[in-house]
Amino acid sequence: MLTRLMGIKYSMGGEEAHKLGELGVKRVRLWLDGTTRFRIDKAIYELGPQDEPPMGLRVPQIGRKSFERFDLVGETLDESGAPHRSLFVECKRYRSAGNQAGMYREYLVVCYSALVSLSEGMGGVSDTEFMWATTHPFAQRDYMKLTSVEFIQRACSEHASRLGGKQFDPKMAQVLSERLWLSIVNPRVEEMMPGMAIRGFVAAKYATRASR
Amino acid sequence: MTLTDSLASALELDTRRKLVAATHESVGRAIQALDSEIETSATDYFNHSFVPDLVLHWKVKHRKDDDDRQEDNDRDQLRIVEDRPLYLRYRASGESFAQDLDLLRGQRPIFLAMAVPDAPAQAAAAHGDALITQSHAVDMLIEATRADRRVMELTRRIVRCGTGVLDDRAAETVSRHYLAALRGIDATEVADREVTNVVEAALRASGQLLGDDNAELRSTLAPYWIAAGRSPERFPGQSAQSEDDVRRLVWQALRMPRSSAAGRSEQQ
Repeated sequence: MLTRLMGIKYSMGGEEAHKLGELGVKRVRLWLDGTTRFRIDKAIYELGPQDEPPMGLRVPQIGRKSFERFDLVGETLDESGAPHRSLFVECKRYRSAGNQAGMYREYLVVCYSALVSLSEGMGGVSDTEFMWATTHPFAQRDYMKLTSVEFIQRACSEHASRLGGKQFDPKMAQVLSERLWLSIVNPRVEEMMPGMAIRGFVAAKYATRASR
Repeated sequence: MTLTDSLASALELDTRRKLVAATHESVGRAIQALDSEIETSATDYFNHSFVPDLVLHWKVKHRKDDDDRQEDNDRDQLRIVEDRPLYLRYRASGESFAQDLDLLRGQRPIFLAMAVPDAPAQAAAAHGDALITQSHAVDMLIEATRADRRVMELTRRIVRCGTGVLDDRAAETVSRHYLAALRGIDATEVADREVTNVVEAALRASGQLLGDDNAELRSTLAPYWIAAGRSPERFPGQSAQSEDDVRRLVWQALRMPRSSAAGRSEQQ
């Protein structure tokens, strides 16, 4: 059974459903922030004056005037804590594999389309990465291939209408495959996160760095 | 431009770098309008789970023990630095914010809601050592400091020591009462007893946010009381103070800047 937590349009539901997923998305956020290799700036549950999610969660799509919206946006950080690339995160809560494999393939096309669109006019490839964070594994026979170029290509063939007639670019798929994160978020993830004392220590270190 | 307006503009910026720089600069400027002796440092983190957006630093005088003070004479007061983390949030309400309060308990955090005139009172019961506020409320306090610079004695303490919910209503109440107290003290034609009531009302309002630190705020009003020609012994709550304290307050009143006296003359 799928509980919707995200804004990509293949899922059903509206703002009410976002609220239902607030703590689930927050859990993923806390985990990512806790690794200190990611930092999340905005979440879909953080609503603005007109009850709209913050700007920056949306990505453009090839040949479409509309956008797709992710649950979290932030940055990946390198070993020294310096910002590396933008990160868009899709959060899913499943209690079984369900129809997740099909949803994931459509998500791949959204990511491919976003990477191509963001790169157009830049004279290079957009510094963007994507993460699918789910509570339950899926497509276990194909699990090791889920971020491969071949899998991305197969997904793009299946959802060719999302690409607006644009020809599939294997080079962009190669870049995308290197920038896809697939994370199984354990329900006990809180126990994997640094505790209050460690978080306080890390925060104090950053505060010290800031004051220099 | 108000903090609320500058944050609204900053949140529309199209790159993270610009957005973070603009929001941090706006908030830093607003904090310094509430406490001119405070320094702010930005972390390059924005709306993060546990790394603050800004850290507020200030120096405080720390008295050494009396015995040591005899020997050290002028060096009896050490300057030590205190700090407080400030976390920006889109909203200071809801389930996820309740988690933030829990996660950051013990750090004396300030949470500043950026986007909306929110209703953070929902979280009030669990605020712990946090100050939960919003841009509109900060704007109201800044406005009060512009009306009378002496209000910064209040706002400084709220920034450094305040806990609880400082929403629009609380900001309006605490600043209005404090301004009324200052004006009452200045109005020499008004009897001490009436002014005492106004002062006590102001301290009741600030006490909601300052707790034990409210006593220090009370003592900052005493020099104004004395400078207005009122008897030190009749200052509200003064009975518990020693003669030395009264002497010190008179000395402070005599050293008060001329601009304050000019302001009082105009009001009279």
